[in-house]
Amino acid sequence: MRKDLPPVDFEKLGFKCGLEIHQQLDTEKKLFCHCPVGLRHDPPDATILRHMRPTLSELGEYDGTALMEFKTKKQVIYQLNRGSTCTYEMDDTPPFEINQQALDIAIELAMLLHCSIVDEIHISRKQYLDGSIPTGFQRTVVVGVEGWVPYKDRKIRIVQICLEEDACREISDIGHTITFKADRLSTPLVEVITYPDMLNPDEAMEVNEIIGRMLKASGKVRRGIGSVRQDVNVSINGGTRVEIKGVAKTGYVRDLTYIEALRQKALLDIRDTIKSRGISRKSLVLTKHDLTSILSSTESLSIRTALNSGGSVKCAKLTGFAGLLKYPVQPGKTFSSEFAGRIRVIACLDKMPNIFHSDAQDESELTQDEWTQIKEITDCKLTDVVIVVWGADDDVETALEEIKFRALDAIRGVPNETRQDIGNGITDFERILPGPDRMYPDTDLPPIPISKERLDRIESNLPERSWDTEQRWRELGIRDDIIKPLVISDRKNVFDRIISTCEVDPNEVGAVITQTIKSLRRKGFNTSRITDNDLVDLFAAYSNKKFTREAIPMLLTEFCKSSNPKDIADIIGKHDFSPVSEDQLRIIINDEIAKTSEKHFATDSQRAEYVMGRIRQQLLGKVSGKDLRSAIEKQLLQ
Amino acid sequence: MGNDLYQGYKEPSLSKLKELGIKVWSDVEISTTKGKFVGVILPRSETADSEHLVLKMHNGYNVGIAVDSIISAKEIGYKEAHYKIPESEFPTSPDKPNVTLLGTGGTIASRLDYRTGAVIPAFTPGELYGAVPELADICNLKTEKLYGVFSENMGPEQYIATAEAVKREIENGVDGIVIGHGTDTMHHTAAILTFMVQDSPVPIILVGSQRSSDRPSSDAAFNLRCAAHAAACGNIAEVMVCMFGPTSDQYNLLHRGTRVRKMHSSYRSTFRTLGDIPVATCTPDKVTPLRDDYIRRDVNRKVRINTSFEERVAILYYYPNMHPDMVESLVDNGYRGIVIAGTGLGHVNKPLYEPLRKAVEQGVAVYMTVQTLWGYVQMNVYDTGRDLLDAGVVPAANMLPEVAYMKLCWALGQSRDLNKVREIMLTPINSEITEGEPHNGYIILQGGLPEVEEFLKKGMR
Repeated sequence: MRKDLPPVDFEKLGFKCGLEIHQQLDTEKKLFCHCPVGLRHDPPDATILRHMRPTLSELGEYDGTALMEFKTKKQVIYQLNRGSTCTYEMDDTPPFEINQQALDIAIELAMLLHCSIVDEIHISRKQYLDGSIPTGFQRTVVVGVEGWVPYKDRKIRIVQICLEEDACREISDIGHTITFKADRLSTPLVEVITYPDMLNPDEAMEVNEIIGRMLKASGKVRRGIGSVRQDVNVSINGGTRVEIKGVAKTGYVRDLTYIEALRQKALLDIRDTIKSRGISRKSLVLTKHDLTSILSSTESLSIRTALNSGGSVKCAKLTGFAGLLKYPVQPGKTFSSEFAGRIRVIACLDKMPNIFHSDAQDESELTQDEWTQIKEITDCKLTDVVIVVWGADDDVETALEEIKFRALDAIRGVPNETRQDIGNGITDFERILPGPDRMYPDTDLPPIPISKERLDRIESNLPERSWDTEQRWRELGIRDDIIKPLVISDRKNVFDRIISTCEVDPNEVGAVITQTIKSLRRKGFNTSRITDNDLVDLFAAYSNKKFTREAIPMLLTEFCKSSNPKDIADIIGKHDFSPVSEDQLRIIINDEIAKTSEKHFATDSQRAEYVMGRIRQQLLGKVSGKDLRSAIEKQLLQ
Repeated sequence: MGNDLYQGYKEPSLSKLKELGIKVWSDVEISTTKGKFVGVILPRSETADSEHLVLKMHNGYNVGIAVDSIISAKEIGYKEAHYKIPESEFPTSPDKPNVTLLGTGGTIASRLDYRTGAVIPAFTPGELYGAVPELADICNLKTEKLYGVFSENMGPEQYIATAEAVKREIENGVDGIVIGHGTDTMHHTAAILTFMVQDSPVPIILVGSQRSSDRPSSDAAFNLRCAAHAAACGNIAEVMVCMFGPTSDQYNLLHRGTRVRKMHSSYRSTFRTLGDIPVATCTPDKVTPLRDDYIRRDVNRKVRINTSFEERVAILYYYPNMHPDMVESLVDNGYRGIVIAGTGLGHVNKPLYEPLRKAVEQGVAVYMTVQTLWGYVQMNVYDTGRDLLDAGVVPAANMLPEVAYMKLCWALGQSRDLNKVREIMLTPINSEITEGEPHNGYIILQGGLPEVEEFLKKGMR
């Protein structure tokens, strides 16, 4: 998390944040075809080329995003891998029946979120013209509505939970060609949408974590990189809803929402400045000029490259906008980045820098002379700003149009858009925010009634809600750093079994499950060998004082290592953990202290540490670390 | 009357809606035993059950609500949908060729139908211009909706009306004709139009789509642009099918109407020329012939039409152990022509010889084609074939079964004299029978082979 952000009174700012959490489900097969779920890292077996056109929604309107994507005129390439894709992913075969296992999981999660389950599900198509889905729409279905999750002393309301197919993975996006890998397409996922009930960035992050843990705690979702992605919606008073898409880690949410609030505040300041200069949406003046001849021998590498490949360089003059483009909107980014972002995406001018402007002449590749000429030809007054763009002529024309649209948006304040996380809490333009007009019913699949029997079956097997589990554990005195990883652990049930049958400190059991076993797995040991019964036996023996806590990692390591272990008792039995008498212990310690007499230690505690290290192994499991240390210290003091 | 307010809703939903004082397009807040739902009530598909009502929530999603769970409802607004493609007048220019688009239905241009939840045709020049404005760069377009049927419902009435409309438009001086058609039986129509409309001075292009035009990934717009170009500017004055070449959006193929067949239930590139190569490749701005033996555009040529059609013709798709009554029942029911899709070189089992012989004796025209689709009927190689020849079954060379069917309907429409029919059948009009099959007339790449996989990596065909 960034430490360099200025303090903000989020309440005063009217900060509101809602979350859309996308979590892949752990099913064997995809949602609408029978291909197995999983990512492919081998080269594609085939590629296909497609384009997307906008279509009408059921209520008869074109969606704004759809039109924007159409303007980009992208060629879309899909990479196919045999075994992970079939003709469904190619959009050359209609969908197969919805994956019933995925539907069951989605209903279960909806119930856990206290949602009202829809009586009859209707598969809808949500348009995505960016090419990420070969059909041009995502098949999605609302499973439950109006739920809640507990947070602090209130409820965070859930708008709905949907079951939907995941999109393709983007491989590259260069100029007018975007390439996707189709392996991930149609992986089942749920989308949990909250109301904008989070009132500051920390709340946004914490609620995101709570919902994320709840989904993982169900044990029915996929884990690992890319299995969960969140879209974060932010608005402030006077701003509009801006959606930050595809945030990969919950930990990024705080900085992203923080900086987005600052960005919206800055855009509102800019709006006020524009208004104070007497410029309105109606009176905005933008003039376009061709600079190709005056810059024909420019030293600017960016522009020369464009001109050499037959492109053009043009500029837009915005009357009365002087100084605004250098106004900071995000850490390290000025208002000019808002123009550059739109041009990058919509005009496909993606080699940065893609604009130069007269508010930052020194940072451009153009010379003072060239700027003087540009200002002359455009009749640029001190109060105006000139934005220069270059590239293929069609794209440059699109860019000039976008400059106009962005300037018009600036007069309104905060444009409705989706933004992408580009790291360190900073975002960049992704696309215009789509509205409900992009939804229409899927005509390939009929509605499916959800029977009472199905609901009863799922409800009767409903696991404990993660926040209830957490609360129960908290009441047992378990620490939060244990609770959080434990509740999403697939060994949480054996944890409950152990603490209810053995007299042990639950924090110790939790630490073994969430830390010891995890670290063994990271070291490459096959920890899946450790069954629930092994853990129960281990802790039963431990609680009966058969050995001290220090022996547990050693026993588990040996168990995982041994070529043919029967069970944990087998391993325990191989060791002599018979306790050492106080006299014996004293002798061992004194012997070891005697051996250190030649060595110099700065403090007694360092000497104690050294002695402890020397004898720990031989006393492992016989004497607890705590007892051993106090015995050593006692001897050293004498 | 009045039920338009409740489109598609049946009892008990209908009474419930009336009782609650809400109707289709009402924006409502509904309280149910499960919770609150807010949205616009949509029409109900007529094939769906009568236990649920459909709500479009304000975020665009649809949900179904069990009618018996509704406690109360409050109408907060009314929002009737006007599903319309933005319509504006199709621009014309005297420099551009004139093309007439004849609509028969199908998914080339379509919209959603709430009652069936299905896609229904929609088709005016204005709508087309709204949906595919690029068409105006190609030609001046006039459209005429002949009828709106799915292609499986096409029949002689439609074939004849289409042929007549084509003739009329040609005589009106158009530079090309595009026929929008459902894809399922497009090759049947392409075949019959080849026979019914001869000596056309201009191209006659059938076009459709495999992905309906209500989807962003639809092939409809590209197909339509290609077809419009082939009709307006192409030099090939034949009846052809214009559909995707590869599954990728790259180029279309122009297939001769008598050698084309739909070969996949859902692929974009479903249409293939069988036993030969296509006539040309086609993009929205270029037709590139793949062969030289095509009929050139010639404004001086006078179109002729012959819309004869005998409906009592059947295709008999042979299977092992077929019983004689399959043939007998056709004859007993007054069928005048039978096209057999035989095995291998054109064979059926022995029990069928006798009924076939009797059928021919009773004046039924019986023709043999092959269910292998590729290759010629050759009935002299085995005894089976010779016996069938002896029974009066006529080998139809390499005519595709569906094409032979269409031609037999047409031939029998002109004459009952089996010799005359035979003459018509075996005299090719445009390549339905060819002199031989070129070496590249049968290329079905076998997936999995290293050389084929190499080819696919470069871009899927």
